[in-house]
Amino acid sequence: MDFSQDLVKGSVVPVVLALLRERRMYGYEMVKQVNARTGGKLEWKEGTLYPTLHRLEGDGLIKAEWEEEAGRMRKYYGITGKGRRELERRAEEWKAFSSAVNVLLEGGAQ
Amino acid sequence: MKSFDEVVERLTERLKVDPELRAEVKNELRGHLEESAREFVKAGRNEEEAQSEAVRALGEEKEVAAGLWEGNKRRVSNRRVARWVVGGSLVSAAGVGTVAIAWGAVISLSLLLAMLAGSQPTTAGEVAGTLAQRVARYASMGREASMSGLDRQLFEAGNGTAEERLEKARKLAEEATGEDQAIFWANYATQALAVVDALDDQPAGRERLEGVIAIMEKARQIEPANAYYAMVEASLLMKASTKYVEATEEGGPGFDYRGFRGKPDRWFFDRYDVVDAAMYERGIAKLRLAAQGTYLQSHAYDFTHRRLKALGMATSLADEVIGAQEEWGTAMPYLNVFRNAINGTQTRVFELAAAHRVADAMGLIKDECRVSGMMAASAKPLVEFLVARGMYLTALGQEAEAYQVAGDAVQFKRSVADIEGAFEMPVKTAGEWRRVSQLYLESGLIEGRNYQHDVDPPMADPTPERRAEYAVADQMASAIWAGVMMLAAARLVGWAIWQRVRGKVWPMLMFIGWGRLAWVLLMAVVVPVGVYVVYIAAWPVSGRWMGMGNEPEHLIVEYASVGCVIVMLLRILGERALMQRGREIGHPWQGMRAGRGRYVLGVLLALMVVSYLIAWHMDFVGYYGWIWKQQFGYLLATVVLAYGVSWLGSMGSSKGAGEKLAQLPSWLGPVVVAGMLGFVISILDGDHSYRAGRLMTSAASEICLAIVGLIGVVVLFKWLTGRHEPTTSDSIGRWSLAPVLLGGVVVLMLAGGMPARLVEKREVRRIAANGGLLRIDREVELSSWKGIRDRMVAETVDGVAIRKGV
Repeated sequence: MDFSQDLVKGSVVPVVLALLRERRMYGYEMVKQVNARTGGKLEWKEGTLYPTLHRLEGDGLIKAEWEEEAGRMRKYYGITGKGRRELERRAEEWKAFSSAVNVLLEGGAQ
Repeated sequence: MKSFDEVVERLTERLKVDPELRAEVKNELRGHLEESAREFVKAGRNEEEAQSEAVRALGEEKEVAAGLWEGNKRRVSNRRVARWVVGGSLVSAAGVGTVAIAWGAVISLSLLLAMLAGSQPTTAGEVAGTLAQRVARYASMGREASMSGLDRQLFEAGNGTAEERLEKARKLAEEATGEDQAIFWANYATQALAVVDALDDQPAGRERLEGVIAIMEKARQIEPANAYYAMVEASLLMKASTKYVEATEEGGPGFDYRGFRGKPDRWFFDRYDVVDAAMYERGIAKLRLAAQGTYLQSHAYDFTHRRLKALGMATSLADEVIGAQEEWGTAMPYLNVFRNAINGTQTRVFELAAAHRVADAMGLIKDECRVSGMMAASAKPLVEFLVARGMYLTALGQEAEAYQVAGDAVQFKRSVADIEGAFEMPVKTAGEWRRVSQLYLESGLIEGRNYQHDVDPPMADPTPERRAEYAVADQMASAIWAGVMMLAAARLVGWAIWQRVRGKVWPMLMFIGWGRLAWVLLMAVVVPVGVYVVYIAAWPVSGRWMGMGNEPEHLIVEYASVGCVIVMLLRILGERALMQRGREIGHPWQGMRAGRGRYVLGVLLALMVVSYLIAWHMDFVGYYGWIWKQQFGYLLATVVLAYGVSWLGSMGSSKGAGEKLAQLPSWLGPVVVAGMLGFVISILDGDHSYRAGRLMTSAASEICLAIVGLIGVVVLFKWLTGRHEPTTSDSIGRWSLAPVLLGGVVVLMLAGGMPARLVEKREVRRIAANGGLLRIDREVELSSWKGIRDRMVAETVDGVAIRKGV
């Protein structure tokens, strides 16, 4: 099942932060990780990743460092303390939001 | 097929306002596309298909381009603001600095010209206009320039030949009122003594002697209880009425005793044969008169301090040094003369003893001791006390000899025991005193003249005109420097604007990032300067006693070395950071690597500098080797500076050593000429420029530094404006390195001196709080002799323990 574009777009920031919480990664690596772990369900347009990364870098949520690997320069991103706090906030927000929506969708409560 | 370069070019089109950021984003996207394409090839696509797939996977081009702009626009504007703030504030700071300093130079020059023309500007404001702080400062200089009659006279009293000083002293004394009277008359008497003493080796005319005695008599009427005048008279009369005959080892008067550290020694007496009996009697009478005084005060220091008080508070180390020089230059001709009175009296003492009139002989000795004690009690510099003590010991020797001649064995034995007791001088104290003296000699501040009575006219002239002149020289040099820096900055900015006007691409200025910048500054500037500060503060190692920067040739080697190290490290670390950054943004840059020869030369120079400093510190060449120290110091500093400058210029291509060598003469020649010029000037002796205190060669060193620095800037210009293709990666390095290296030139000039000046500033405050440079020293010296002095004064003046003549 393909997710709607709105949902995918909205998930980019928490997904990036969650990935980087595990370890430092470069852009292409993140795309591959997401595809592999979600079995291709969360199919990103690769081009949307970079603006997000740059914005997060500008906001100080992630930090970038260039490294040379096998003659190739790769820009690695890592999460900052501020980024971790933001991720926690977003995760809680997501949980609360999804349980609220679940309640409605499953016709419960009232 | 679409090449990735074209794709990323289009994707980042809107980021072109920030070439560096755009290059970085392009590099990142290109890397992504290449990696993606490789994956598609692995999956079985052909290369062309793989590339297309990779681009497609990126998403809709317009959308991505817009996203990239959105994601980065805040960073773009932040970076733009930062560039303007940094660039703008640097340029305006340089502008304000130049105007302020140049303005100061104009003010100083105007004041000086006005003074030379004989008119005195009533306020500095008339000459200067506004700029509150500067005016305030120069207004005070204006006040000095228009100093009222007495203060001005006081300044001038210290200058000129001995004859001129005597005439000025006479005028001051005759016009003096109130408290000044005693001080000015004492000064008149001392200056008169200096004139007679200057003729020491010639037969002093009797008329002249009587003239001086008449002055002493007048002065004694002002201060009847002061033994100083009678003692001077006694000394002059005895000297003129006796003939000195050197002691022969055998047959002459004398006795054995245990001297310093219990060493067996023999006390010999020179002979002073009376040649003018009447005059000799007058001399004896004056000695007895002196002993009836209640104190002995030459007022030499009072007079010096009276002069310094008129000069105002010391606000810089230069002022403090001028003050110290005035103190050191305080003439104390009586120190040498007083011995004549004691030696001359000896003849009478021995005559009386031989005639068995021991009580009368002891009466005379008691008078000698009393005069010595009064002198010791009021001694201000250590040397004054030491002379007093020498007189006292001589009198004790006369006492022992008198008892021996009179045949009183018991009293003789007791007297010799007294002498032996007096020689129990604390060794530590004597060592301390030698250390202090040696430090002063080494400091070069006083050129070994401290304990001589024939002091030259003050080396630093504290009169307002000269102070204004020093200030002008200093301000001018600073203004020229700031001007050169301004020009350099303007040239840099102007060149970039010109490129833009001509429609060429704005050369990219790379920013290596705050982290790397901090690292470069830490390692290239903070660490070397920090190490240097520690070196200065550790004075037993650096030889900077009391933080005084007073050995120019020594300092210039240090400054040149620190500056050189800073420029070298800035170049090496800065370039390395730029190369790294160049790779990140996809503009690999080779840098301008230095050959191995350059490093070898650096190591050799470092060894030479260290050897020179060790040799200087250990004083291998001795005090009189100072010319060698100076010459070699200047040459070494010049070579080190030239080496530092070479790190600013092009490193040459990597084609071979021959090509590098071929580039040397273009800048090496002028640098060597500059060094030689400074060297020659230093030999010719500038005799002024106040900054370093010693005043002799610092003007030369400043000129030398300025010329070498100027050449550094010229080399930098040539390098910047030479063959230039702003779009090549090489020019990226050039333009980005330029500000770092421009800063390096300034650092080369200033960093060496900065910590030393900070230390100096602190020292000035400390010294001022303690009442002056020499006062600290004097108190240290005299306090270590306090016990001996108190005992001596008690034995002689207070009479508590006096046995003489009993």
